[in-house]
Amino acid sequence: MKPIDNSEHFRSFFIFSILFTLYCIIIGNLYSMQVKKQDFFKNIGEKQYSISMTTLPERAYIFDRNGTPIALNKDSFAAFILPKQVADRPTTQAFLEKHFPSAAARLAQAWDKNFFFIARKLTLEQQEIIGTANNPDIHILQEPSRFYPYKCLGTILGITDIDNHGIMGLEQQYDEMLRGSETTHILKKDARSNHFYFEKELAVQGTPSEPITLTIDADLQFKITEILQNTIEELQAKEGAIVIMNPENGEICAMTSYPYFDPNNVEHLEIETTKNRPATQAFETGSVIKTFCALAALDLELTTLDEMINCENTKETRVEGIRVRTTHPHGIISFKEVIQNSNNIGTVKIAKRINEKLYDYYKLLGFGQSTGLNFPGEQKGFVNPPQKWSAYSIVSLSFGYEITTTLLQLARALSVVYNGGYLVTPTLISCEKSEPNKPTGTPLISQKTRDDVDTILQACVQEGSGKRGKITGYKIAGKTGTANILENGKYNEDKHLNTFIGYVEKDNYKRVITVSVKESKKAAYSSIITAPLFKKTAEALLIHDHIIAQ
Amino acid sequence: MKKMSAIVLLFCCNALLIFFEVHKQGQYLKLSYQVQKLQAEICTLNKQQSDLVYSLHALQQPDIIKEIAEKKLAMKPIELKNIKLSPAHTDQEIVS
Repeated sequence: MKPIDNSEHFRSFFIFSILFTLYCIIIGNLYSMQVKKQDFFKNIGEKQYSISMTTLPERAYIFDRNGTPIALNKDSFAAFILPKQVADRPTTQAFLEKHFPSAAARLAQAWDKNFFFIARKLTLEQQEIIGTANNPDIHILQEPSRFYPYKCLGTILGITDIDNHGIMGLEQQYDEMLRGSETTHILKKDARSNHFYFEKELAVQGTPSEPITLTIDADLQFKITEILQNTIEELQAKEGAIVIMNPENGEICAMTSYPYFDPNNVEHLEIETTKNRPATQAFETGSVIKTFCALAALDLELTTLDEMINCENTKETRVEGIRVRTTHPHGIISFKEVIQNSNNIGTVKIAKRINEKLYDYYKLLGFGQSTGLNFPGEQKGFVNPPQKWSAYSIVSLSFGYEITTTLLQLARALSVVYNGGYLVTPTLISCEKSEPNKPTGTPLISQKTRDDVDTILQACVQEGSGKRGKITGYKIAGKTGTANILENGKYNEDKHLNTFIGYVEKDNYKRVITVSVKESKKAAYSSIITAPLFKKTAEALLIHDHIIAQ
Repeated sequence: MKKMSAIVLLFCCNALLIFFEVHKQGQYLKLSYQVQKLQAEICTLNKQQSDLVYSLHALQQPDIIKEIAEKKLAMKPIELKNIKLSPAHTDQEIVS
């Protein structure tokens, strides 16, 4: 064996050193990758075969009381481009400038973006234009949106925005429930598995969307909206509203406003038409409030139905130094006739006896406070408190001024007379699954007072200003009201708000109906405006609910 | 010789277990794909159902029905005073 010389020794050592250094570098790198930067490389590795998938449940339907869907889903289409990947920029730009000028203007600042919406919720016409253009740079995306078969329910249901989130009405109030929440899964897959996966892990558990069932009867709503619309058009009035409520449990069977909007076509939306007037518009009611003034006087035993009141046979007089005007002069008549004929002089004389307690009764009947419906934008109304009263306040409060109420509050207050004396909470949501919304406890108003008020209201319809509301074969009670409208701090005597609060009964069937018409040009008094409207509404209701007198 | 047989037997058992494991995994993937296919089908059917419900209710809009009733069928709204109960109904409670 040949001995190893020095140069070979050196070469062996040199090669060994190089190899050793290389091994050290490799081990060092391995240490860095496997230990020090473990999380970083693990993430990169996981990203190659793990995909996070988030799903949002379909927005739940809204049903009416009969199970008819009144808010359902449909597909709408959105057009978009990927600015960085646009192949033919001049053509695309020219197309947008011609057919979507606002999008073209926005796009001028967004050519460096990855994604750009041209338009969402495309109309059929827009879809056709895009289809005909056949531009490969313009893509179409399917998006969920809402469809409402009953346009007349728009003011109650509200609408959803471009992302299908509720922004008005019940869609807004119950948005969380209707929308549900997102569920996230982690899918394990490789490049060849396409739509399939090997494993599916739950990362975030969402909640399913829950449908809601309303107390509203959609067909009834359609019928009474039509009646209201015809009345408003006939009278050349500005607006109107109707509420039908079950006094026993506060379930609202119908609640309509006119004018209303089409929730399926919200491109040019007028805010005025979106108001659910019965709940969101408080107004001075005029004489219908005399019903509750009488209720207070009778409950406090300050008068009786038979007490004779001197109405002074004049249209204008002074009661304790305060000027009071009334529409028709009456002489000495019973208290029942005072309310029945809506005589302001007689009413003020009784209200003077009640004095500050009138405020307490109005509050007790729910005026000036929330009804508990919690509808978005619901108004509480206002009752002028005694500490802010002027000498004229008791006069005003007795016949419907210095107090503002919604139509719904009037329906709720009238229900007290016909449901055993309880203040119910109006509801739009059906309580099939939970306890029925039946009031319990001590009645707010005595049986005798309720009977007396009922007698007055029946007399109003039989012989008083509400005659045109009478329906043969049914128990009908009600009271008309006409109020001047406040404009620029002064009451305009040419502009009126007419109301009617009424009640219809047949055996066990009971419904409270309140109606209002604002600024009628054809007539001024409720006896010829709202009393017939009440009658038409009640008749449509009775036919719809198959309550037929023998 | 006995030692050799034991080793061969052990090797065969292992091979068999590996085969079963691979077969099980294959079956699992196959069934998993079927489940996923069915789930995708359910989604498509739900979507179709939703579209049909929409189409149905779009056609059943009360305005459309009213127009057909009044213009094509010459129907008129019924009035309460025109409704008469037949004798058979008078004894029955019809309050809903």
